Amino acid sequence: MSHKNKILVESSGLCVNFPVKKDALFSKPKYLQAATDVSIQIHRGETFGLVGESGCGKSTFANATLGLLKPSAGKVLFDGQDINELPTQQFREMRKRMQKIFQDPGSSLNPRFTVFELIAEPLVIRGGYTLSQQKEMVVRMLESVGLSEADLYRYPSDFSGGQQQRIAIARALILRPEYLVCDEPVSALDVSVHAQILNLLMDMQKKMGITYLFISHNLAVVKKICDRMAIMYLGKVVEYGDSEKIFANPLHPYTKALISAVLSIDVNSDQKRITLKGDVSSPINPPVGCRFCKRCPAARADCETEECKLTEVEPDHFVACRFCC
Amino acid sequence: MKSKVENLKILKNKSGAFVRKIWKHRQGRIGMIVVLLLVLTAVFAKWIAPYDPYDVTQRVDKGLSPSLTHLLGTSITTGQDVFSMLIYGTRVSLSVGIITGLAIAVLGSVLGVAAGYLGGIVDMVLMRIVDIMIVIPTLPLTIVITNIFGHSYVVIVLVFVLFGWQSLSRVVRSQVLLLKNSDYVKAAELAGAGKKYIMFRHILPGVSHLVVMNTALTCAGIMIAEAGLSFLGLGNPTAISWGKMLADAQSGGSMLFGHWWTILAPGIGIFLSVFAFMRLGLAIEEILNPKMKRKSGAYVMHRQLNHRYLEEVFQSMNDVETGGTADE
Ligand SMILES: Nc1ncnc2c1ncn2[C@@H]1O[C@H](COP(=O)(O)OP(=O)(O)OP(=O)(O)O)[C@@H](O)[C@H]1O
Ligand SMILES: [Mg+2]
Repeated sequence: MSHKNKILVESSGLCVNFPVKKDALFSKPKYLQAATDVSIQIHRGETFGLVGESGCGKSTFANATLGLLKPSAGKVLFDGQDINELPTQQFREMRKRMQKIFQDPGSSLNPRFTVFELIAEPLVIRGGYTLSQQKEMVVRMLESVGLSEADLYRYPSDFSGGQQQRIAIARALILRPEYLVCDEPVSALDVSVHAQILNLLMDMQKKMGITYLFISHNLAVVKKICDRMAIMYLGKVVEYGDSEKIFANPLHPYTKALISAVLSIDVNSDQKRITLKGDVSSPINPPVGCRFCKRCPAARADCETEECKLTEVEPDHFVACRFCC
Repeated sequence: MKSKVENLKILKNKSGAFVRKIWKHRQGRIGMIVVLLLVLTAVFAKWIAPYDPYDVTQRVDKGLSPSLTHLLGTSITTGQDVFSMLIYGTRVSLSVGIITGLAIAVLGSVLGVAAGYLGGIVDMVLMRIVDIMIVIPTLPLTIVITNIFGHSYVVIVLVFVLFGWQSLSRVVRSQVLLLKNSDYVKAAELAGAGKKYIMFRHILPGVSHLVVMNTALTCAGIMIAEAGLSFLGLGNPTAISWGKMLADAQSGGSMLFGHWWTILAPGIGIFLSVFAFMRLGLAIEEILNPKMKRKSGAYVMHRQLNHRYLEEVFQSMNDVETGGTADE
């Protein structure tokens, strides 16, 4: 493994558009802009949080960094190489260094596979492991995620959601990836097992030095486990950088509203909760200017027409708002 | 490759488990037993049947009533032993049904998987062909084709296969589309899996049960269709089949002479085999679709297609019967 690059994953100007069905035969083709001009750097070994409300393009961005989606514009660099420019064979090699944990563990595990087959699948695909090697590795992995050898030949439907997610984690980590996308890894699970799964993820990170892209709705969780973070709104990054700095000094009105919503649960806090009015605009025809302007408490007349670029206000703290910088 | 052996072993275990599930299902067990009995009858016909109906020297007086020497009497037109004909008839009916069923299973699932998994132009072309072929009236075309290419079973099986794969390929395609977009296929892709691996490890096993179910139902439908064709005189004239026995009984005027057994016997044969394959197919359907999945698109779709398919078969049966009597 090369540790030359401090930056493991980098997106620059990344846009992902999905074509939308036309309403009339000759109307202009329309696109849903799921991610627009996203430029983020994820450092090696850190946990990078990605926050935003449902439908703002978090999964889209994550899938684009994994090469599961082709960007409409912009680049994704993994360890310094553009993943969309690589020849197929090399890209396949590279993919083994990235993995993903899905939101719903039930659907990410083939119900016809046994636990052994599930966890060993990446090894089988990669090839070059004997059956006994596979078994040894699977058992070791299984034990490190808190399951036992006795579970080896059971089917995923025999397990609870939390246990299924453990299996998914074991499977994702068996090839010792460098980059792991956790797409809301706990939101489909019982609240009672959230902490267990998160602790497991953190333990594994400590042991293996993996870089996480951690997607979540839950700011409290992000605050606790993430080193750096980005907040997205309607496909755009509104604030990005060191998470301590962002939590200590949120600048974008949207970030402020999100954080105040979490902090207002704290009774001792004297901060007033900022409530947002209005609905999220449609990603099909987003506002030309700031995408948040329709709901922004601090919006001014020209916000609708003039776009704000991400600007660095302090070291490793970027904001896309013309009035907060 | 060791993993291949391992995979085979797992596959064996899994199909074993599947057979056990069918056995536990009451309807499925009935179907399985009857199908097994029919297969045994067909294979060992030579030893079970008291006479060889193909042997001209063993023909006796025409139109004998049932007795101990001729359990179901002899046929009115040729004087063959009806019971022996019934036993030998299993061969034609079952082999046409099963061979056609298997061929349709292979063709339908290969084309369905190709359309669903490859998508794009392949999908478009195949689905247009299906759309066109599904509205072609099968029976008249079958009559024309058998008239041109001769009444051999090879031709008949080919015709049945040609017009039988469409509904299966559609059902398979929609299931493949579901599987293709599932998270576990994405996870395998992320682990570096190629198209071939995903096809053989995830997609095909995911549709195999559907194919098995459809095959059982197709077998039933084909056996009815074959009986219909033979009854119409479009089957192989030298072979002994249940449909032909019915046709002979009718042309010989068995109802006129009150020889009802010569009609009932092949009728029961047809009924039993169709019944058994239907039970089997429906049992597998129920095993595959526990209540939870009832509402899924694929389920509703193959449900409709099956109904439509059977309706078509029954319709062509009616056509055959009315056509047959009109000819007399
Ligand atoms: N394959 C697709 N085709 C068309 N539109 C899509 C597709 N995938 C996502 N979208 C749209 O892109 C937008 C962003 O979706 P995305 O899944 O990235 O959101 P998300 O932030 O992950 O939301 P959630 O928190 O609900 O998972 C949504 O409006 C969604 O409807
Ligand atoms: Mg998502």
